[in-house]
Amino acid sequence: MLRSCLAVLALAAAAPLAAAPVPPANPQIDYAGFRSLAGEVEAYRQTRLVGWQEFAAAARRPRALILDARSAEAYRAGHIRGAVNLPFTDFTAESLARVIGRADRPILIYCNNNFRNDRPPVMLKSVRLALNIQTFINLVGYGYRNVRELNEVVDFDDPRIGWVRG
Amino acid sequence: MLRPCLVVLAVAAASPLQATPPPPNPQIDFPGYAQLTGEVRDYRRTRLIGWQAFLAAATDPDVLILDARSERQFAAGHIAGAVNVPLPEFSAERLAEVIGRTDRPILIYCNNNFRNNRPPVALKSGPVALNIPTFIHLVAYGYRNIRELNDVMSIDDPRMPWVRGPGATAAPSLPSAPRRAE
Repeated sequence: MLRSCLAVLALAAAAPLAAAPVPPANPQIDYAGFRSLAGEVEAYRQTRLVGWQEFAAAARRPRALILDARSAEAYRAGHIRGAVNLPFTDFTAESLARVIGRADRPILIYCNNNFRNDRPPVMLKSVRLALNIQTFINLVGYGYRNVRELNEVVDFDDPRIGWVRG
Repeated sequence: MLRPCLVVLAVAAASPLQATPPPPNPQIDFPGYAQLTGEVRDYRRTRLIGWQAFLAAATDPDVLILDARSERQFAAGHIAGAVNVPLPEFSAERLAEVIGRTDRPILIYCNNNFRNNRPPVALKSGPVALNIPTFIHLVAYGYRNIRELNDVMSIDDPRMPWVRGPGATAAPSLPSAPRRAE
């Protein structure tokens, strides 16, 4: 009995030292949750990729929203006609609800890596770090699932694209 | 020999009919990104620091405090000395311009390091906190000396060196950026 009590005391005394190297996680940041979300989106996104023709046709429907998640600066310098800008870094439940409205609204996304131009405002990013990946994960994470992503590499000088210059 | 050839022919013949899934955009690699999130996970865990350590590290003139929030949020308020590169603006060129050496010590923080949950630090959902992609992107671009603030603070805490706008403006991305050690 005494021995087990001592063992408990010893454990209690040792615990703060043992726990020191791994700090408790910030409760407002969930890396494991992010990985699991990314895994879910990886498969779902495969079914939501569209070519330019389908993208353009979907964009003409009345409820559709073309969402451009690049920075405000890049958006001002050039964007697809009709696109609305909400920089990815400003995504919150409130800001998305304000811009999108209903969770089932058809959303069309594109980013720098949909262009072959590789000059401002659509400088090519590393293929693993394309903004569409982050945007898609975030939209699904906030409950917006009716997302389609442009899957083609286009040229913003192509008149079909309807590129608006700042 | 004949059998493998027939298999190859059969596959080649069937492939044009497989309309879905569409060929991937060669400029976007989602599986590569998903793999990267796994590679960074354990490393990031060893690079989380509390506020005292963050503050102590920030006194080193070589250290860069990098704020990856939007320009607008940064202008409205940020930790004193921080330099702003919004995450959508990350590119090899821009980061090299602002950070310099890949072994330079970098400190990151985001909205979800604050409990205030109001602009310019409105809380994001935990799994999509900005520190997560910021950390992953920095590692992918070759920067390994990153530490992430792990505490939840208040911008109203008098001990928090919080710079409020409109006087605060986005730092230039030129070599004259503040805190650049040279």
